[in-house]
Amino acid sequence: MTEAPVTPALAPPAAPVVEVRDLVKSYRVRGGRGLAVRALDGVSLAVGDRSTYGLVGESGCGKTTLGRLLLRLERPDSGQITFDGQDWLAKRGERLRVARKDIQAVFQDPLGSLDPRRTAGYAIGEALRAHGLAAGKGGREQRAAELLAQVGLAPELARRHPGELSGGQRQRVTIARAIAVQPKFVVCDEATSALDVSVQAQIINLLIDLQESLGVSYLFISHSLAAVRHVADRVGVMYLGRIVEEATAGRIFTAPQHPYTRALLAAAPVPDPAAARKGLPAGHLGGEVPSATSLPSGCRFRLRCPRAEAICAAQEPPLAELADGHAVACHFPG
Amino acid sequence: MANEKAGIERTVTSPEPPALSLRGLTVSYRAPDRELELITGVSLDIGPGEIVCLVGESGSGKTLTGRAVLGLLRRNPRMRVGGSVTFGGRELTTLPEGKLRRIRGGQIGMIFQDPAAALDPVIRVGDQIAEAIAAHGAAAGKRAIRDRMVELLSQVGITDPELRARQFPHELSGGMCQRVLIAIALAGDPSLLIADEPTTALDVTIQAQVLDLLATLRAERGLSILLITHDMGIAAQMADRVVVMYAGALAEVAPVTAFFARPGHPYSLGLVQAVPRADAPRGRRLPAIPGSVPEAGMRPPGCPFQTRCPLRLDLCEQEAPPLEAAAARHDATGRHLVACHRSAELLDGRLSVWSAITAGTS
Repeated sequence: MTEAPVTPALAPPAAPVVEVRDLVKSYRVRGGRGLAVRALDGVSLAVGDRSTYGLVGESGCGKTTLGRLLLRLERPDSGQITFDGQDWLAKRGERLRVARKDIQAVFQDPLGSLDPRRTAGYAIGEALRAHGLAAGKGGREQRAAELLAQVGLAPELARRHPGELSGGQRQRVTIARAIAVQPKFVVCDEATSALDVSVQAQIINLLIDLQESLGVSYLFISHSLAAVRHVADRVGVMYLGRIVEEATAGRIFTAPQHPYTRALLAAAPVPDPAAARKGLPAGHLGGEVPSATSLPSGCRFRLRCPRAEAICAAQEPPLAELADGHAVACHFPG
Repeated sequence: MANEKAGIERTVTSPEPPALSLRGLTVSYRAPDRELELITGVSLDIGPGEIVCLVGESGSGKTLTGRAVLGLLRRNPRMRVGGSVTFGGRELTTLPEGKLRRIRGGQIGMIFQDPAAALDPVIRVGDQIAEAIAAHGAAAGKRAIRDRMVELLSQVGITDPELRARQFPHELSGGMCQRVLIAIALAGDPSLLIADEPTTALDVTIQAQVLDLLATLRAERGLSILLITHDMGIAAQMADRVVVMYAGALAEVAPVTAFFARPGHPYSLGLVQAVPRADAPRGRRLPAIPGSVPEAGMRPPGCPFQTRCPLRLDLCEQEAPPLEAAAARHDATGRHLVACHRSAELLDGRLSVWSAITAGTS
């Protein structure tokens, strides 16, 4: 086992498009007399070219903060982000503006990320114009129509305002806008969470199709391990600002090692009465996520952990590699 | 329409007299230019101690059905509720508002999706529970009400109830707020709980705790629960019977095991198969139902699902299929009801509906 918990335990994928190392980001608590919350407390991960990294955890675990740092919406307190071999945090001014097209985002609420007064076609055209990707109004309109077709929408929908589109159609428009600028990387933050199950399936399929046709990589942030199952190549599970387990999707789902990962899997209801009722309610975690302002000593999961022993209160377990690319931060994995 | 009539008159019976009974429930909305039928004749019984999960996509009418049962649509002068809702031998649709208010929050408890919004932010949670006890509960006198309040808080799994009672909603987590709302719902010692997406706003591990609590309340108090959810996983875990709604009408009603073993309606099958599953074999694409729920008043002629259905026949465009019991060879109890012209073929396993869609996604 390594001593320092913040260094990555894993060799990064052969050609990572994005690599983050020891990212730390804290926020001052309002009215907290200088109290700070470490939303990210030393997170490292790498996303391979043309692949999808699924980042899973409950609210407040830091997964959205990580996405915001990658999008350069905020700066970390410390740590590095490398994008396409370059120092992503060093980019500023005009260089940053140009580079922004390489990392795009799709968020949970498409209504919140589209201007209600502008048509779908305008939203896509604006993205093209900002990065000089299609010449003239006519050129932009034609390209917008192509992009709409690419995300499975009729070109006529370009004339509609967000309020005239269904939730699924709106999310397709934000995806069309994201891919309009030919990004290498897209941060999908709960991109399918607010959608009905049938529409969620459509969007998941669309993201998979676009990855195959465009070669884009995704950071797929979700509270749902099940949704991640269908898109991710690698999966990281976060708890209170740290990654507690990371492995290939296959291993996370078939051989989870961290008790928190196991609990997340057990808590997700599956559409099968026999499986859903098995082991209930013993498999469910008690308690709630503690406040990030008052972390317990040692392992931050120990207060909810069925396996916790004395060492868990004394020492924080490092994220250590168990087997081929499978790392877990637990004194008693398995 | 003749077929809709048949659907209305056919009732869903449980072995014991039902706790709640809907017969031909309709809800319509008076728009400036026309009358929109939002719910078109829903008939359904919920037995004592039974958990019925009402499922469907947003816009299918499941929340509206719950609100119609509770008489909450009366406040909107444009809404009209028809048909019958009987609870404890009383017809609720014609009951004066004053009497209905005593039942609502009393013998019928209710909880909703957003627990923080349902609590008053400036009143201590203990006082909010006490208020419900005073209004509906059996306890009288300050002391008795207080004891009952603390008892309710511990029943819903809140540790340190004395301390929590003195806190304000913003000092509690979302999961704890939902427990407080369940305590308020229990204050009137209800026999029926209507829970509309009670865990949708909660994290998955907290959702599991709240669902466990609901299952325990049913087991210990014989509470009947109408659980409205968009999550087929929750339905599989919680329901005795599953009721699928589409475009304001019932598409299928079935005991939970039969339902998930072999749904008789292509819409039900689509809903079940579209769910991402952590235990799925490593197949990436999900079978997705194309399109989306028709907007209110835009229901197509014939079967409401025909515009999205991969099994559509000419008949489906002309005639709405009635909600009928599946043939005895599929279900001898008569408790599996389907509104589909092709349900017999589906239940026979002669049709593979979504494989075509899975292969070529759009």
